[in-house]
Amino acid sequence: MDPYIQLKDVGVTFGKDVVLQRVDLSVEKQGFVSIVGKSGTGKTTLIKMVAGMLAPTEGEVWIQGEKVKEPHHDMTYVFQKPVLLEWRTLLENILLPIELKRKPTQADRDKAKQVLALVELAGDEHKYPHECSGGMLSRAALARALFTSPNLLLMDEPYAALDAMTKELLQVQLLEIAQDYNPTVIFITHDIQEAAFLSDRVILIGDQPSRVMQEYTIPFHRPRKKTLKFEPEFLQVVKQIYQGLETL
Amino acid sequence: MKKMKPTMIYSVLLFILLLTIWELVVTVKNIPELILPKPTAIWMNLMTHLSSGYFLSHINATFIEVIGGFLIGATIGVGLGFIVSQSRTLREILHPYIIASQAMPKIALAPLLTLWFGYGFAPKIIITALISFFPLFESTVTGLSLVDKDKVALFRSLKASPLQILMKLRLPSAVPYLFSGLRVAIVLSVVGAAVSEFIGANKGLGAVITTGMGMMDTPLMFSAFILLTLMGIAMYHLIGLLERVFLKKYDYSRRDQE
Repeated sequence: MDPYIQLKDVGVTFGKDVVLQRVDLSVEKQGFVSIVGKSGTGKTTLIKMVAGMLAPTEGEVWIQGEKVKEPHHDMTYVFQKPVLLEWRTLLENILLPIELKRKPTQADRDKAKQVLALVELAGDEHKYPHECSGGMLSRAALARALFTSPNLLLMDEPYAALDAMTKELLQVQLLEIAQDYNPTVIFITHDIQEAAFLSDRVILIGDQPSRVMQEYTIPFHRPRKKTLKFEPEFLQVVKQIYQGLETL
Repeated sequence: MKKMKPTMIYSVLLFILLLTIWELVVTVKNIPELILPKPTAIWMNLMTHLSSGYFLSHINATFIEVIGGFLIGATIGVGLGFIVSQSRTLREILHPYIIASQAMPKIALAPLLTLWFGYGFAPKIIITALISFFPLFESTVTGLSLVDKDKVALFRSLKASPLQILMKLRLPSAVPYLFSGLRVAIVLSVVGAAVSEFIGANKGLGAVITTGMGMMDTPLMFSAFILLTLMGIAMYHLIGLLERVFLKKYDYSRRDQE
């Protein structure tokens, strides 16, 4: 079966700066893949190409057998920052994707409230972003991404700025949501433990210019609980990835 | 009752102290009223003319010019800013004219405008509009251009059209910039109206100042000056009040402090 996402010999150059070179990567349908690499290795560049927000200088990106030329209709992108519009309430922010297509109906509003409840924001629908904590904003951004029930979820270090406890809570929530919705997910992070906890596969990118250096299959079944993080087998996997990253 | 902030109390005390020093210096040095009247003399003059209704028609005239000029200037400023921010070609064509409109000494235009439009409101409103349009033009261009790149990327990832990006992102993002432009423009409008009245006017607070000069009535000049200042402050705070009401949900006040 063809992979859901395929990057074929992809390269990106900004001026004289070659950021990515000869990247070959495929992601199966409903797979959860994390991309890990040091800062400045082109992780965001890579995910933006998959999102259709950046064209590769060389090679091709394919989603569901279609060459990516623009943002895919069945994709949502979660940014490093929550990127909520401060003049809209959380509910209005969640409704934005549908509002750009048509006038939201009562059913849309009900669904948006359900998605907000899913990320534990029930009762906060009418709050403005400035009235929310960092964790609430990240959850609202995830809710907006899930609102259209996308088959492809691209997440670019969405939890990087959060404290450890909030981050863990959101990781568990994301796992539960991924279990229910079953989208294909590409998750960018520089947190190895996070990558191992969430994903089926962890891809290490690095070198100068960056390319895929290592690939690790995560051997733990789903659903996963947060106690997994303390199990010796899990710590062994994290250590293995850490050592792989250190050699880059 | 709302308690006064300590800084506000110090500010009032400083004002009283400065007035007292002024009063004492004029009294001790025996400075003629024609050169520098005492604050008490100015106050008496102001109260006398206010109670006699002398200032009423002049305040009205200046107010009409300020509001008229401000509204026209703001409309042109926002409109031109909007057009220029949407088209690079238009920006390049119009930019030299816009800069020239600000570089030229607008007050020097007053005699010409009086020649063309007479002694009525028109020349004063035109000068006020010319002065107040630029802050709105600049803040519109800045507000529409300086949009968070991630937000633009979000809209593009959602396949928003350029018109949707403009209406649902760029325009709402520009609102706080527009208000800061409005605050600057309204104060400049008061200055513009008053200065344009210096040349060819028999009504308005600027005209009162020139009349006071002709009559060697310095306290009257100060009284008109005080009324103009109060008008500027009142307008500035009115825009500030509107800004707080409109931008409540943006919470820009808190963001500015952070």
